[in-house]
Amino acid sequence: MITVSVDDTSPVPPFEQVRAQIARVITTGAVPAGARLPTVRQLAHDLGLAPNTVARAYRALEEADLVETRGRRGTIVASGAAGTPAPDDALRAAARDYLDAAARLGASADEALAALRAAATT
Amino acid sequence: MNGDVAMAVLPVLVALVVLWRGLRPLRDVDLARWQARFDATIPDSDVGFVTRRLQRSRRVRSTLVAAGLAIGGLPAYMNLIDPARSAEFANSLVGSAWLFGAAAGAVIAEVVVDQRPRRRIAALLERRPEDYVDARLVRVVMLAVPVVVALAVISTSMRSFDWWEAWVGVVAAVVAAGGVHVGLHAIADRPALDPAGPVGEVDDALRADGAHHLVGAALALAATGADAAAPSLDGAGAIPALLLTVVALLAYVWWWLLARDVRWSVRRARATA
Repeated sequence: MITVSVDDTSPVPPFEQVRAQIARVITTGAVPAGARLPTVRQLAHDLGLAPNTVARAYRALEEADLVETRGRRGTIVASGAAGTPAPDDALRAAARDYLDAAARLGASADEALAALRAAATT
Repeated sequence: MNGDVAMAVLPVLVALVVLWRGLRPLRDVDLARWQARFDATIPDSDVGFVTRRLQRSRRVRSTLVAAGLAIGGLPAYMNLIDPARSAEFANSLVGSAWLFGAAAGAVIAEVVVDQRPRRRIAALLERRPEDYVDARLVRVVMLAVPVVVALAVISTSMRSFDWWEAWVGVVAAVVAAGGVHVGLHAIADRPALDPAGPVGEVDDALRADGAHHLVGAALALAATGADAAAPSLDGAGAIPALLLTVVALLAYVWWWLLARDVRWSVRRARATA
């Protein structure tokens, strides 16, 4: 699962944090073209931000031709915006997904790594 | 106790039973069934939270159904107090008050949820109503509105018995459709607890649970609206109205199944979308 987060301690404004994270996952190909992003309201609620802050991030992404806003049909990743993931990026994304799945099962990062090593050696 | 008193007491008794069932605490077996139904595993640390949420939703829904049932007994109460006026209250609006209560309860139970995210993390994934309940059922509720309006127009033009009650059917269908629209968007737009944590799938399951109660009640209300809007005819002309009554009864069964039995996995719904 691809996530974005807001760091309250960062000097970077929240809208820029959101914009940068979404831009990165789009340009590395982690999110394919045509994928629907959360609505402004949903993303704002989830991150504890004002809707205008998320709307500003989405506008900036649209100006950079990374997303297309289609009114009631929401916001989608623009075709041609998604890059092909470099092998390292894809591997890191896969590792992140595995650690997220392990966390949902209640395992720590160390336990997840131990399970991975055990699986690799069998 | 004569029959009139019994008829007046019955709705109150049924309302109290509904209320009692809604207020009783959830048992471990109920939680286990719920987890299996919605393909979710409740982390030990969240059992209390999930139990409170489910119990509160159940209380809201059952309270409004009970209120509707009590209102439905108005003709019987008036029969004891002022029999001459009892007939004024014997109409489909009063008779279906419990269904309006059920639909309202299902919507309110979702709208009043005050959920805050546990971390400032969001999944880059749009939450849509069809993640939580079969979209075909929602379409049936929405399509019921023009169908019921058409039936009401036919009933009105034919001036069949109690033709004005047909427009009560329209109100029922509109309330059902509006309630589904408002309720499902409240469910989808509610902040996520923690999409990257173990409580993420529980959050989805709670949304799906609410969506199933909501759509079930709306189906029953819309079907009853169609039944009320159908023209009252004699002979062979009564068959379509009879069929709609059967549809309404089936909708009640479907509501029961959606509220208690139908399994739904948000994860699977997203994967097959």
